[in-house]
Amino acid sequence: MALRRALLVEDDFVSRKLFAGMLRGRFVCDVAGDGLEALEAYNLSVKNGLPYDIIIMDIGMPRVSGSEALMLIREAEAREGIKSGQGVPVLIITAHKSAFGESFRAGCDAYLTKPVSAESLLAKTMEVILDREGTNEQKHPDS
Amino acid sequence: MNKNQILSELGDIPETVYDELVSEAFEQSGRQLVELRQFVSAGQSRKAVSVAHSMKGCFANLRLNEVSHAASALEAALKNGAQSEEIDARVSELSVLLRLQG
Repeated sequence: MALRRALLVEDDFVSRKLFAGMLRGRFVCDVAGDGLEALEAYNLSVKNGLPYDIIIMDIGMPRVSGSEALMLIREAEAREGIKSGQGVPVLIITAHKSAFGESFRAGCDAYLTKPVSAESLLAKTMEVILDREGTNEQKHPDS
Repeated sequence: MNKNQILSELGDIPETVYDELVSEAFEQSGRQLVELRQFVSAGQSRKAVSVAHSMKGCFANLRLNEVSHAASALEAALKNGAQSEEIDARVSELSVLLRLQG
């Protein structure tokens, strides 16, 4: 079975390595250190026709925050005619409990609070991906 | 939580990998603490909050809860605009823990 593609966005180097290790074996993982790098990776994935199956992203990051990057991704999708709820699934991981409202307004699909276990990360990631695939199959049954 | 439980929660990562990550976290936190002190001195509390928040998350992810809680207390003090004496005390507390456990 082909591995799914994930973009992992986390400014803390140690946490990034930890999360990437949790996803290893199930995902081919690209990494970004802040929202700006995430946008660059997202744009490149679209340009190359290799979309991510999921973006897993922190909120509090330098330069461009996770919620700002997410809003820009949703705006780019809307310009391409991708409707709300049909774009790339985004899972937010944050220690800011107060950031959930902001994350959902920006267009995230689900969230986890730090500290995250490998089990919860994999379970939530697959839940979000399968949910999105189910939604898109219902909307486009012939695709 | 003992080390085996931690390794299990983190996806059964090898102990050597975990130890390496912990060592990197402590090394990184030394630099972060210097940076944080500079932000506090310069009155750039938002940037100082961001550094404390990052340390809190990193150590929480590694299940080093005592250090994470100390970083969390510092973050809260900075966010609440605490007096400089309290912030100094929180920075010292975190600094001591980092020296003791690092």
